[in-house]
Amino acid sequence: MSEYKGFGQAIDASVITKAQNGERAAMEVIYLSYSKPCYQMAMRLTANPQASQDIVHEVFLKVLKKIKQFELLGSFSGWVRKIALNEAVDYIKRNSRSNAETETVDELISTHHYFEHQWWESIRDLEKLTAKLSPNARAVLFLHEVEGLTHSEIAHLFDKSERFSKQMLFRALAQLKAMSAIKELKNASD
Amino acid sequence: MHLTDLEMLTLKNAVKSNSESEHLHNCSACQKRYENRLLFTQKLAKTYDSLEFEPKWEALESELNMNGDNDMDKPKPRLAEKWEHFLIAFAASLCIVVISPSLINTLESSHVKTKIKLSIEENKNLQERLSLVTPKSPYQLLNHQTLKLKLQDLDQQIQLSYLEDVSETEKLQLWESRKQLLLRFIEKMGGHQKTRTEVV
Repeated sequence: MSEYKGFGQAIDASVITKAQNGERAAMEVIYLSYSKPCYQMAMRLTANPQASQDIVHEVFLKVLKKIKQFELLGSFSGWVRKIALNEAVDYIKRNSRSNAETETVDELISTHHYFEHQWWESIRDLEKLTAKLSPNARAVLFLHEVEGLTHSEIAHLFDKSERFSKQMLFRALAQLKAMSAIKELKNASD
Repeated sequence: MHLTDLEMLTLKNAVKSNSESEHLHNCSACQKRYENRLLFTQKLAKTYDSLEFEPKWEALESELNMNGDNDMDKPKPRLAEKWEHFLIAFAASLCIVVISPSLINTLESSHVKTKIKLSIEENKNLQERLSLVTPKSPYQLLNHQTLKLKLQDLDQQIQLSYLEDVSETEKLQLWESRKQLLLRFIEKMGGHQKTRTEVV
């Protein structure tokens, strides 16, 4: 069985060319290759299965309608991933209240305690806990930690400042750490 | 002085500075924290790995067929041509509003009907403002295209609402959703003029 590679999966250039010429079979290959990683990314960012399905649908409508604009010299999977990121973040922006930037980044800069111990190891179901984070905090956490975006890139996606991105990331960490501590206490008393 | 958590978090996604690299090389405590930080990322990356996903190619294909292959064959259109499709859909929505017998026969309050007329007028004004907006970056162009698709979808829903004779309140909600979609986009692109019904 071949290893699942997500957006790392390469597509033959001939498939892209056929899709650009309107061949439905080639379009279906593209859809089947990248729809699952697109769905996984959307689930990480939104924790909402129905919204994630809608996001996948919108992403591939755009990908397949704009495919003629894609130049074969670039990374096709990177192009699809970028469209997926934009679509997922657009969903979050439409569906979450904006967080007031009440904490100063200076308070966050001085902490040293998030990586001294592997506090996350006690979390058995990280999906459930991350689903409880606020929408912006969850999205920034996964965009920064898993998708590898910088604070500047995240700020651009959200039309916000880098300070917003840093604040949301720390908010996510703080909430996760607090939730894992509560879970440990509960497990100990059971 | 050890690296802060913020510096730890930024290290992975950005090029390490000389001082950070040097500190990491010489400080075992920060090396351990950096390893922990990478383990944290690995754990996060595994979330939803075993997720079941049901591909819905048929639904996507039927929507592509509905929109036709002509969209794909056209060269990048000029600004006026870009808006041609949803302007036609918007005009169709207006036609159905005018000629629909449900408008004449409805038993709902005239207050809601007045609100619908106002909302339609505001949509028309926002449409005109929108036709003056030119995207300046690839990101703005993508948002531009996203808006177009969403407006097409809403226009279809509006048309259906008149054809299926839903309540005036539901029609008003659809027109208001359309208006909010246009307003948000125009504000984002830098057009800050308020419509008549907006509270200052």
